[in-house]
Amino acid sequence: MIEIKNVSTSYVKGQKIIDKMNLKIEDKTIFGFIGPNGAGKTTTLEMITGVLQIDEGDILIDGKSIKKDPIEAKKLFGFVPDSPDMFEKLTGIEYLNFIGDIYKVNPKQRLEIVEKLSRELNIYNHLKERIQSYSHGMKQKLLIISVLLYNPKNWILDEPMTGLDPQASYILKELMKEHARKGNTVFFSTHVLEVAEKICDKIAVINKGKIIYTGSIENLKEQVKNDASLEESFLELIDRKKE
Amino acid sequence: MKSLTNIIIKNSKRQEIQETLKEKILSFIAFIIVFGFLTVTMISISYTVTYKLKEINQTYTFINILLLMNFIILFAKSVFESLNVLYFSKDLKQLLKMPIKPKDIVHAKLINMIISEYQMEIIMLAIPMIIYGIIMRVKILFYLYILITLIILPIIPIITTSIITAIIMRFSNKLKNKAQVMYITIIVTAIIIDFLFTGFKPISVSNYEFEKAILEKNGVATIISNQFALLKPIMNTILNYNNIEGAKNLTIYILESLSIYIVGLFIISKVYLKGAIGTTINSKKAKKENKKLTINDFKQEKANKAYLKKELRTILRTPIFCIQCIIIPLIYPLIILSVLIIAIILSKNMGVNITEKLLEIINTSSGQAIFLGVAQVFFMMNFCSIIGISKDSKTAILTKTLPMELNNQFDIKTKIGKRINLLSTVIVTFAYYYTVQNINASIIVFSILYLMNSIGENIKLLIDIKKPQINWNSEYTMMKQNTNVMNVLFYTLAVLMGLLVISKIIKKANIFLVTLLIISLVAYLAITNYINKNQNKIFRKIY
Repeated sequence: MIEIKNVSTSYVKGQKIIDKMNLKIEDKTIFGFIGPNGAGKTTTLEMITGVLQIDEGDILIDGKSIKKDPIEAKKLFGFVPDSPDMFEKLTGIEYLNFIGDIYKVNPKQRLEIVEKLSRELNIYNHLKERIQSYSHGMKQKLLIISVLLYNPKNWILDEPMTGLDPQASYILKELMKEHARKGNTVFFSTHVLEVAEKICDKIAVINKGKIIYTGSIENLKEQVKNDASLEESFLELIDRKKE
Repeated sequence: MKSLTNIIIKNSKRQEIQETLKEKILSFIAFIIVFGFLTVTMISISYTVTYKLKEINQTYTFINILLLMNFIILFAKSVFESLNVLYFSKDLKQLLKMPIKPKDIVHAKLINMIISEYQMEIIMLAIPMIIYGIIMRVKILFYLYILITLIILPIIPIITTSIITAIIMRFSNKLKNKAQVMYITIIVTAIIIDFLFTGFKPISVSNYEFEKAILEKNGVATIISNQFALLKPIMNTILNYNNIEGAKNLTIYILESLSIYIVGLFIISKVYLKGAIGTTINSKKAKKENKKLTINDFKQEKANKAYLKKELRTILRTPIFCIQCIIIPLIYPLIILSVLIIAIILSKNMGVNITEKLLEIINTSSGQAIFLGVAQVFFMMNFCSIIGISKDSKTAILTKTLPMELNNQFDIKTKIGKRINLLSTVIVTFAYYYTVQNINASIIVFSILYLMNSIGENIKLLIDIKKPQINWNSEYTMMKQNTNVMNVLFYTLAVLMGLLVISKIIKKANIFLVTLLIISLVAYLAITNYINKNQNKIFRKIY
């Protein structure tokens, strides 16, 4: 479970980019985080994962504060960033071993998980090559495997489908569903509304650093207009806030 | 083509989007101070050398050595420059998609590389030449020739290395392995430079020839220009600036440079496209190595060790990092040690006791400050910690999400630099012990240097964390445009000044050492405490 409690942050003093945000992502949920470019999606995820400092409020991961107890909180999530910038000079296997060492995953478990997932995601034959030779999608796949390697309870993914081929995209969606079914949390940002519509149990819409909607997709559609698509509802919601 | 050149030049400059006015002003002041310091140093060296050479009628030697030195530096730099600008810059993906002829891209990039060398030439060539001109009271035409030399000198080194790079990239089967291509290019370039300069003939001047040259006016300069055929026209241009020989040689050198440029542009353009495309797509070639994963591929290690290994791999597998972080800080102290040993042996043969002379110096607090200062200069040459964060590019952000204390990550990141500096520490301590033959004093010197090294590496990483350069196009441009390096120079100057001031206050050598040990220890504890207590604040700028 991820709880965002009254959180604010700013890059420049006095200019809040996230303003008093409150959000609760329950277990057994796939939670979509939707918003236009520059709305604050990545900033929010970076605050949850401890990359960005929180000016006010707090964020709890399974009850552990990222502010006060960052190490314990960081053990409880796996993060896939939007741009798969990784240690390009390492080979895929060296990177996975690095993550395995940090999260103390035993070699047998590493072999099993890496073998299974890398074959499914079709990068098995490239794991001994340097990451610098990987395409965007391959880097994304490697990041996903690295997160699944230590199987954290909470998955936090920033635009995870970007750069993935249809097969990998399908597999990831299935993995997300399975993870939530097992009682865990999946929190991901996206601007692809079809993806959100297909797999999310709940969504939050963010605009200009503020949450403007939290709930199910069905509710959102009902609030806006009956029989509207998620895309229409989303645009309507954003327009309303502009007014 | 003009607009493409302008865009590439603008794009190659570092742009800090979020830099405030205050930070811009501070950066400008820092630049002026560093530029001023380098200028004053060059003026002082040029002034002394020119005057000394004037006394023995060999002033032209200064010009020839200066041209030779700049030419070699330009060659060395252009190996990295040509690979990174032509093949591994991030603008390539965009440029290759556009309807631009390869010749135009190559031309724009070559011009960019040539122009980017002028800044270095102003300090390393123009300033010493101007000082020479003032001392020798030369005519105005001399300065005009210097200006033309400055403009055309980078052409031959850049085009030559770019041709080598382009050919290697065209026929390389491991296009994606930049490190290997770079090492191959360095070796091939070194062989070709040797051939161009000497035709593989060893530089040999007999004692008789040298003695004769010393007695003749500017005889040594003639020996140098005869040894390096490629540079002879430009050397003769400056030396004969006031007669027709100068104009003739300048014309020859301009024609040489232009011909090489035209031929180079033609060759590179012909082979460029395949190599450039190769760097932007994935290498699909089958690898010989076994791709099957076994349990042996997964060995468990402690988190700290795994992190350190990751740091070391990044440095070793990136040639420019490896050179600046490992090779240079290891080679320089060894060179100085070799020079010292040779000097001791030679002086013994000549009946001079160099150890006694050193002992006279070292028995004073100023002498000890000099010894410690030498080590500090060696520490300065180590770039491990000053690029500790920047070298990771945007991955630095990802490391913040790892469940590892940030102060622990900080400590690991400085470890490689600290360990490499141990060589300088040992060498300086050894030289100190050899001179004073006092084990207690040597242990104190070692301890001071150990602490100075630790403090220095911590400060370097703090500088990098304060203003990390994680948005870079290539490793080379990051190193080249990393203004944080200037701050290391400031720090070193501050330490040297500190040593000088303390040595002036405390005249007794033993008390000086003990005082310095206490100061270093307090400073070390203070900085460690600061890092431990402010880890979140320190890493705040990495996002």
